[in-house]
Amino acid sequence: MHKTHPPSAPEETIIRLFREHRTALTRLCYACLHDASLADDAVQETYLKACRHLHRRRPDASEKAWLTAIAVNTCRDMRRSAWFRLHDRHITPDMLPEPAANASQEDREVTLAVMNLPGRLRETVLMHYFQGLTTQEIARTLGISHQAVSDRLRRARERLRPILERSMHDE
Amino acid sequence: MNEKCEAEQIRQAMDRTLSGLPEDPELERRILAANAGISKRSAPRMKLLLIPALALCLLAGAFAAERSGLYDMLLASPQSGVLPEAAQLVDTPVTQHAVQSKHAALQVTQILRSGSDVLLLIEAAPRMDGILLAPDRLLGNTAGSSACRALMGFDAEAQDALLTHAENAGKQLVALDVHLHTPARSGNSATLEYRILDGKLLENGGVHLLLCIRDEAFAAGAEVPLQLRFGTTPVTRSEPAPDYALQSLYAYDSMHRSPAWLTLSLPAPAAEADEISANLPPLIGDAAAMPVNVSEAGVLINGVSLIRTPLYTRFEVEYTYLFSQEEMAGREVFFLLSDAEGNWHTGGLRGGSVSRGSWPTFTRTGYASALPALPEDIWLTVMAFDSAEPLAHVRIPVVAAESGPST
Repeated sequence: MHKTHPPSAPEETIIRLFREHRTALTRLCYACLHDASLADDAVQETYLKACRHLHRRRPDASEKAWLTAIAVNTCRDMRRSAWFRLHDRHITPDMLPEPAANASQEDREVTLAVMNLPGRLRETVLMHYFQGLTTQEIARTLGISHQAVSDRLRRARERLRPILERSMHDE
Repeated sequence: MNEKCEAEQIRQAMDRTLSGLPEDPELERRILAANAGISKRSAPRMKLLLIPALALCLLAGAFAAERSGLYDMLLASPQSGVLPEAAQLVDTPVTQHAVQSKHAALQVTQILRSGSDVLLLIEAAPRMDGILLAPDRLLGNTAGSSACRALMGFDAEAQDALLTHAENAGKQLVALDVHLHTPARSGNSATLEYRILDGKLLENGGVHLLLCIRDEAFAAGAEVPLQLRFGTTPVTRSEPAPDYALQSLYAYDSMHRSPAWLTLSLPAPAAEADEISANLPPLIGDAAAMPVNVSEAGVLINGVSLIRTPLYTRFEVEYTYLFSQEEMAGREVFFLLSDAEGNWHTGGLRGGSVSRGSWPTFTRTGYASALPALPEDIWLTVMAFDSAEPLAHVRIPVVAAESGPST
């Protein structure tokens, strides 16, 4: 028995998905991978996968959650490559891109703190706080329990809180 | 500060800080092109364009290979890592395929098949004076450079020798790997072996190996002069066809910025694969290792099985995490297996290898060159994805299996 080709995704859908989510996904991937070029690749791969599997998207999953899940998994795969592991990926302020908007020193510190969280915590924080996914959506995406998501967020908050509070006071 | 406030603070801080991230203006167009090509066979126009390109690549690759003495090496050991018995199994060697980028010429010199298993031998040669190629025996999908002195597959002495050689020659050292099983060759070349051991790929109609060499990083003066990206794409089709060349690569052939492509096509009629599999001789040996508690790495090794065939050696490591998934966050492990001398590192047990099971017990499968005899023991190195240092390194005695090997 021969398989059939996956259908092409409607072009207008892809264009819409791209224009609505591309920027956020690029920032998400950059925060995961600490490298603009790799982030570009990850976004590209995310949309390729989305094109191939659009017809299989669960109707109850929001587009943002679905694309975020693909992007996070793509970044995770890239992080697992030996090439990635070879390099020290700890990011420092001078490695951040020059911001186009008016970013304060506190903004940069918060961003760095998120980016330098341990992998699992960082993923969860980015999905929840940056992409706005619910804990249920994150649990489904990561294949872990709702409680585990909550635990991760709690631990991440504990780590980030001093920086967030300092940042708040400075403002 | 409540959670909502924190969320908003994080989102705004990241948005502002990362607002200057460059975005490729061509990405949308490429994705749309890729999407349009997903359900189509490659257009004849594409093939016509690629044929002269491939011919040029072949000519250039042949020239580069001749200049660097690759043909001599080719003749010397075309089937390294394969036992003589495998000669009965292998498929007819394919026509040479070659591809080149600005920096390197790669040539697939032989493709060996045994049922669903494929072994590719690839020769790589630099195309720029400033590059010295060397294989990296440990890392996968990667390349190194003079700025990156961690050639993990070599001991310190060998690393120093390579680096000194590169420096004396005024070259950058570029480590190429792909599941290497052959030692570094002298001179300016390297032999790569890439194994595809997934029956599903052939069942789906063929194997396409994608080599992408990105020149961009080098051109931008980054530390990474060369990056190889290997990938396999299972092919789906709606009707039988004798050849599936130059299609089903999705948009990869237009997605990367400065690509050099090599598309290999292995027609795989089911009957032929079945026939080859049916004619496989019995496995040479089968062995298992006893459970080992590697608590310092947070895992219990339930067992290591080793199955030797003329074409390759297969290892399976079953392991159980000793802590909860939360406690082990970021500490996912993978393994390297070797003999006492550090030979036959098993690439397939590294990151991205085949892994099955569910928390806390998993099995990873890896492959190495064919072993002529059963080793007395094996060394298991436990690595974690978030650490460059091994978590543990233990010797495991090998015990021959009482019953015959299973297929």
